Amino acid sequence: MRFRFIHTADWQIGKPFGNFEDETKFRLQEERYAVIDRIAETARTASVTHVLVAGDVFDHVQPADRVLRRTLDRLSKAKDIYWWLLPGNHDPSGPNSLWQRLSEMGIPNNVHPLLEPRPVMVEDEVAILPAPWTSKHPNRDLTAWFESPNVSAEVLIGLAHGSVQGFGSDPDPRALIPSDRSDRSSLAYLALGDWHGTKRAGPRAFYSGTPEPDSFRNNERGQVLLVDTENADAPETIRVGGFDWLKVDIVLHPEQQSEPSLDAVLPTGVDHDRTLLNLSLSGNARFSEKRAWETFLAEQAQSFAHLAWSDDALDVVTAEQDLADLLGEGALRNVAQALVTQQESGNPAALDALNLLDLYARQ
Amino acid sequence: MPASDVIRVDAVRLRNVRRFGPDGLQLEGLTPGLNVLARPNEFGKSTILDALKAALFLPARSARAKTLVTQGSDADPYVEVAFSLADKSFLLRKRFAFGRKATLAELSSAVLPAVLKGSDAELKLTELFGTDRAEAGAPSLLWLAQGQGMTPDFSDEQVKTFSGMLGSAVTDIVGGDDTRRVEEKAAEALARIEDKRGKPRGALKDAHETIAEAETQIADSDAKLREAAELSNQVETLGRKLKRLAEPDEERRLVDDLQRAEDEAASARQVVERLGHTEANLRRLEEQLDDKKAALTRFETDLNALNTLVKRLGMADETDTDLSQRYSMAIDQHAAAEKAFAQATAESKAAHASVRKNLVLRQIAAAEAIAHDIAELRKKAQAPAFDQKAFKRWERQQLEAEAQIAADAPLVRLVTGADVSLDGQMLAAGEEAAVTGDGHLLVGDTEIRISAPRRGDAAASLTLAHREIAALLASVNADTVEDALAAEQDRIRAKDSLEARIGELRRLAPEGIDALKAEHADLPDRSGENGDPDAADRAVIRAEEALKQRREALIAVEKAQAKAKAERSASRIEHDALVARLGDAETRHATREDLHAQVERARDQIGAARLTLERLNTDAAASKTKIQAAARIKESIDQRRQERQNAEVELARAQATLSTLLGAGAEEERQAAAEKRDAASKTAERLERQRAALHLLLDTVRSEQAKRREATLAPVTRHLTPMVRYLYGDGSIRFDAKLTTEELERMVGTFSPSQLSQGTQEQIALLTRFAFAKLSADTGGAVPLILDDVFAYADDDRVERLFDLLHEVAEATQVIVLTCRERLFARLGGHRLEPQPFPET
Repeated sequence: MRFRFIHTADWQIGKPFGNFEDETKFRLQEERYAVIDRIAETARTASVTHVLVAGDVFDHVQPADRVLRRTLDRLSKAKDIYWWLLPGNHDPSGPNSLWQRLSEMGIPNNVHPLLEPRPVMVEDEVAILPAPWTSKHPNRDLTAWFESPNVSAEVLIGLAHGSVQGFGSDPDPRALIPSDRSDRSSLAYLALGDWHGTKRAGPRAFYSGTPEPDSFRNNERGQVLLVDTENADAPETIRVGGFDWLKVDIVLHPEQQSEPSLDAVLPTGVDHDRTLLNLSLSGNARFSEKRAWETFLAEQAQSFAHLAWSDDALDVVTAEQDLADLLGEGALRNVAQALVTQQESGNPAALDALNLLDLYARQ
Repeated sequence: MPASDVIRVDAVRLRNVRRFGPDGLQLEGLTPGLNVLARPNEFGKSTILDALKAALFLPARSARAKTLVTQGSDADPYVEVAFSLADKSFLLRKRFAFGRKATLAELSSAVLPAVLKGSDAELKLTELFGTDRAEAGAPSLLWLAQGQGMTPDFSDEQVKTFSGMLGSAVTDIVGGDDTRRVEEKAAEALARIEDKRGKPRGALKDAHETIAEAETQIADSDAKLREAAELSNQVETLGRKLKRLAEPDEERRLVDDLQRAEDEAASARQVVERLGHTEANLRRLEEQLDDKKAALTRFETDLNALNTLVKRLGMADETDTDLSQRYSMAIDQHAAAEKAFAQATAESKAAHASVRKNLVLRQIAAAEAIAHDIAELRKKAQAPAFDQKAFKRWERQQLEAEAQIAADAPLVRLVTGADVSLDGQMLAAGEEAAVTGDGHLLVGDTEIRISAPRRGDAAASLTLAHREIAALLASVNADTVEDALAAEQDRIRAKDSLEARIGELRRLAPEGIDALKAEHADLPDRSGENGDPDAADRAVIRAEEALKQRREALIAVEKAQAKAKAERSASRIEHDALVARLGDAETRHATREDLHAQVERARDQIGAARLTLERLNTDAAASKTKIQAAARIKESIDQRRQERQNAEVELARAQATLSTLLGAGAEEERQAAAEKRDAASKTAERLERQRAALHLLLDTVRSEQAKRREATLAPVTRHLTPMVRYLYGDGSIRFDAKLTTEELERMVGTFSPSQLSQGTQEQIALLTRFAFAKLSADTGGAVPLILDDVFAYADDDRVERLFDLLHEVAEATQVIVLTCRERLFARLGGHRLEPQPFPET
């Protein structure tokens, strides 16, 4: 029996992105609704009708009404898709939970919250075994019941959220899932959520990752998995993310002085307007070089959806020649020299002051 | 001694310049050292400086020289300046004729190949003085007009001159354009994020505010989240409570209990009901008894009233009889009193008549005596009157005539001899007599008649007077005037007495004596029984009083009779009415008996009812307990239902509130606020870093500027510092970029100009000029230091010290001091200038 479906997780709708400037913030918030449409479209293209969301549909335990309402609206718009939603650690079910509020709002027919740990038949001979979070701290293996599911179906799909034993360096101990859950429970596939990058977690067990990235961690995200139970260990990754979040390190070497450029560090054909860039300058640079980078990045920042850089790890070398180049031999040279002395004696403001001196002297 | 390339002024001469007019003024023999012109105010010292500046720097055609023209004169201002440079003498002559032919500019010197004229002369001056204007070059720094001593700021040109003296670039003093630009931009940037007092503003302030706002938002969201958690707990608690209250077994058990209790209560209720009836019956019987008792009381009251009325009617009959008797007695007594009164009145009348008769008789006798007196007096009064007025007139005429005769009389004096008489009067020797009579002078036998021809009129007048007086006396049959006057007095007295007597008679007998006599005759003659009229009058009053009492007594009896009649009639009506209502005596007795019987009957019934009640009460106590038990069970069921209902309402309310709270998305708000706060914190951190960098940059730039300025100004400070120390004992001066004194550093502290007294400000400004003078002497191209009344604020002691310093300056360059403080400067040394006239020769 073959069963094909889309595996996704960690939508975290309602994430506020408050640390971004207003425009970016709104764009990022909106994108988390828009990705639902793209997932639906992906399903249609792949001719599947079931989308399994492995937890953390919402970012908060109690999102605002409008967040719930808008999500329901998006889901119901895709009438041809069955949405199977699992409560995760961000949005556990329980009395007075958001899931109760959703049902009070009226859940569309094609949307199925999986609030109970019991098998649900999605098609003939195909059952989903959900492991919903019913509190913030279950402190047990929520998939334990998969071992005696008391269901008669040919295909069992596990749907769970949380850390898998022995997986990652810092597992969340609240609901550890055995890495051999698929084998132990004879699952055709274990659809996992929680890890924001796409990752295999065991035999026929995968984290789909978040469809819309939300951090600068460099892992595989912004995609969903198209799962075929006949080839459950090799699900197909399909890109659906709207924004790209890139974290880039640039190491400068004063002896290899060159014009500032991002060409070497950015993927080709990157869409600046849909890219959030977090750039870190490190290594050594002459004062003039650092200035040149700053000017360059200030310009670039205008075309990226977001560009932040840090030069905390960059050592600035103020060469005699550098100063002479910048400031000639006049009084300003003496000022600069005095600031360099300050810098060398450890005054943290001196480098900034030099920067400003250079800036004003050139204007 | 001054350096050889220092320009010095040797003489100044002027004519037709302002107040000096045609007489002009010349200052000759100025020394290379310190020169002092001490003259009072209004002497024209400033004019000398103005003339010097004009001569040296104003073109001879310049209209600006018009300020030099003497007021009210059209003569052209003329100025000569003798000056020397390195022992070469020059003579400058200028006449400001404003373009006319007389205009003159001429510079002559042995060192010049020829006398330079016009613009050639002026060009040469520019070359020698290094400037073509007094406002620029060394003169602008060293020639201080009145009031300029205090001017703290230097113009750009002055700064330029000054840097020329130092051989440096202007920018070394005021700071290079680059450093200034950096300073300005850094200051601008700093001003965007901090205000003058160093408080954050702009983006920095915004960031801090955003942090604060976000914190508030976080606290707010936290509160909401806490509230939501509490509500959530409440909802759970209420849910459990509701479940317990809705437990069906418990409900059923209670309903069964109630059914059983109700059954028992039903029979109990019958007992209680009967008890209620009996109680009501008893209450009704008691009310009836009260009614009966009241009816009996009313009836007996009526009976009593009837008895009283019967008694009262009997008493009224007796009173009637008594009053009739009292009435006839009062009538009799009244008649007797009337009679007594009539008798007393008659007796009084008779007594009064007798008294009158005697009185009238005495009046008649008195009247007749008076009538007799009147007849006598009338006779006296009718005697002829003496005309006193005429007599007085004639008497005066007589006296006047006699006086006239005496006055006009000639005098006869017997000188010697004897036997001489005049008008019969003998004259003794040496005697003198007036001739008032006929003038018969007998001397022995010789008769001499002395006549007085003018005496005729007076004599006639006298004669007439004598005649008239005699006639007047004759008219009253008097021999003498005294008799006549006495008789006249008697007559007047008699006339007066007559009037008095007539009045008396009229009072005694107003209708005449005959009328009195007639009255006397009419009065009864009762000489035998002449009673006392006063006693008779008192008897009348007593009788009248008695009569009044009797009348009142009579009226009282009449009133009593009327009242008694009315009362009896009222009692009768009342009596008849009562009898009509109560019936006759037999009926009344029967009624009374019947009422008594009814009361007794009611009492018996009450007794019976009370017995029944007592018996029922014993049964009812148990019944009531059963009924109450049933009620308690019912109440408990109701309470339970009410509690459930309340819990439902409460739960609904809590759920609604919770749902609103959750719907607002506090969690999301909180996270957003926290992220916003973090972002703002980063911004604030960045801006604070920038602020620190800007402060550091500004400090560094400014300190660099100051360092450079100090280095550049070292030649000045080298001269200035010893002078400052000489004047104040310690201290040094720091200049800012505008060459304005920035600070005076002294051991006691550092002072900005605004903290210094005006005197100190002035002194520092002067010292600066002194230093400039010395510096300019060092560097060459110096001009004299000219000070026009610049010691406005300094006290004598300070001026002395300043003057010591001036002596020192004068070692290097010429100094010319113009001052009004003559006495002070008399003892300060220097070459005293004595101005002389400079008229046209």
